[in-house]
Amino acid sequence: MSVRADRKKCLSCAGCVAVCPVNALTLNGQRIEADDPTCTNCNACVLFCPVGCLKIVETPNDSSAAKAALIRLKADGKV
Amino acid sequence: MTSIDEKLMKEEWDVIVVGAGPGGNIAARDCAKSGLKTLVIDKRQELGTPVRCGEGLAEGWFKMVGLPTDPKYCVQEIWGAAMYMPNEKQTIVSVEQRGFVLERKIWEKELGKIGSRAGAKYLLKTMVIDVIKDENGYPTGVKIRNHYGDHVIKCKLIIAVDGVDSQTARFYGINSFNPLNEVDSGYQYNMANLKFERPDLIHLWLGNEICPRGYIWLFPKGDDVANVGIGVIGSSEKTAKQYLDDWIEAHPAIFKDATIIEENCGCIPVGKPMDKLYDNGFMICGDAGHMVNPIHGGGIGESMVAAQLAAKTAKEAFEAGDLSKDFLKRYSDQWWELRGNQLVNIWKVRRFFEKLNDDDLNFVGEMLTPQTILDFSEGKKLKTLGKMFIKRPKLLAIAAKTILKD
Repeated sequence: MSVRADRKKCLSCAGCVAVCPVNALTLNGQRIEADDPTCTNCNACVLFCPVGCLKIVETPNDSSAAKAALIRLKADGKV
Repeated sequence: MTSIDEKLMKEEWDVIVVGAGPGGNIAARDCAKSGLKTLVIDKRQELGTPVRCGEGLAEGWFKMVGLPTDPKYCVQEIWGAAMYMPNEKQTIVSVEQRGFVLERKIWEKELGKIGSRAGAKYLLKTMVIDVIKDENGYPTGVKIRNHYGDHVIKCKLIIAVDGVDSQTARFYGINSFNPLNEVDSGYQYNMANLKFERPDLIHLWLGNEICPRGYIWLFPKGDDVANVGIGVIGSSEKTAKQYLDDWIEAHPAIFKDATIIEENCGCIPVGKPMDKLYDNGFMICGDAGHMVNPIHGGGIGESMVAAQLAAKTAKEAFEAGDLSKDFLKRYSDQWWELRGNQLVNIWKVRRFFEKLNDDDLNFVGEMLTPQTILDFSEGKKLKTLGKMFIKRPKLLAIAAKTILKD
């Protein structure tokens, strides 16, 4: 799992970069980029975002444990 | 043909300043004035934009770092603040020394001119993607990425002034991330055709319903133009934008005919300053080191003052031929004495206020005077302030755990 920014909403403030505990996010130009293997899906950036533009998504190399965790998060209405 | 900025990448520098905000420009100005060969790197293509700031700054900060003021970027004089508690009780705090609401898009370019005239060079639209160190742990350069590709630019000393989302310190090996409960999520509109009184005051609204932990602000930039923004706790239930939009909708007298002419947002580090502000060949200033007033969220002045101290230390370190952390420690020591300890006291005040519900806030609002508000916002006379709550055991208990605690 990792995070993606909705570019229609994102104002490129990079606050998500500031609150990421593992430095998985970078502001490249106006685009927020996530290093998928580094992201721990902690949700800090999602909660922080002033415009609510981030969400946790599945990525191709997700482990079965990660997939299960995402299903739980969805069931809890957290993503 | 080699362009001006491409040539910069091939040279060796004494100092690389990462970030061309207010602090970065002061560091650049002062390092260059000291005769240090100084390069400023910024990932933006233009100084001053995008704005991530309410743009308020007291004149005292300009004086502290030797900067001029000019109406072309000091677009509104401010002589105090109007505070509104949850019950809408208004308290006006006047100040003896004026402040300004700035037009940072203009001001930061002026700062860039000042740094440039002092001899510093600027390399824009360039991301720092790593810090290169030698076997002894001293930086030898930064790895950058721009439209020329990836390059290493050599230097001896790095000053990281690259804002709340600083990655330079992390590339160096200092984890400068901000815990979610120690940041505010900020959102702001620049609006025109507003209707409000007293453009000579900044206007601040408090309340857990409208804005958990933080406040909503209206910073005038003329009689009917203002920055209207909000800072809420990073982990808040709704987004900062939702809180602000709800509040605007509830105040048609101000906003009925208003138009949004700009929107921006950002992260405000309202926790304690970072303990580790230096290492071998490395110093951190400003938001990158969490140097922000935890009550009002202002960080421009803090960053400039820290940068001034860092540049002074850089000069002394090069003169002594010693860029070790043992030498650079004096920057941190001086900064903590000048600003850090006071910011920690202000952080205690923030911790006190964030534990109050709206009834408590209204009660405190009845007791506050303009002077006590000033004392609170500056983290001063905390013991005396704590005694104000002696007749309200709940507040006294909170005060004992926050503002009265050493």
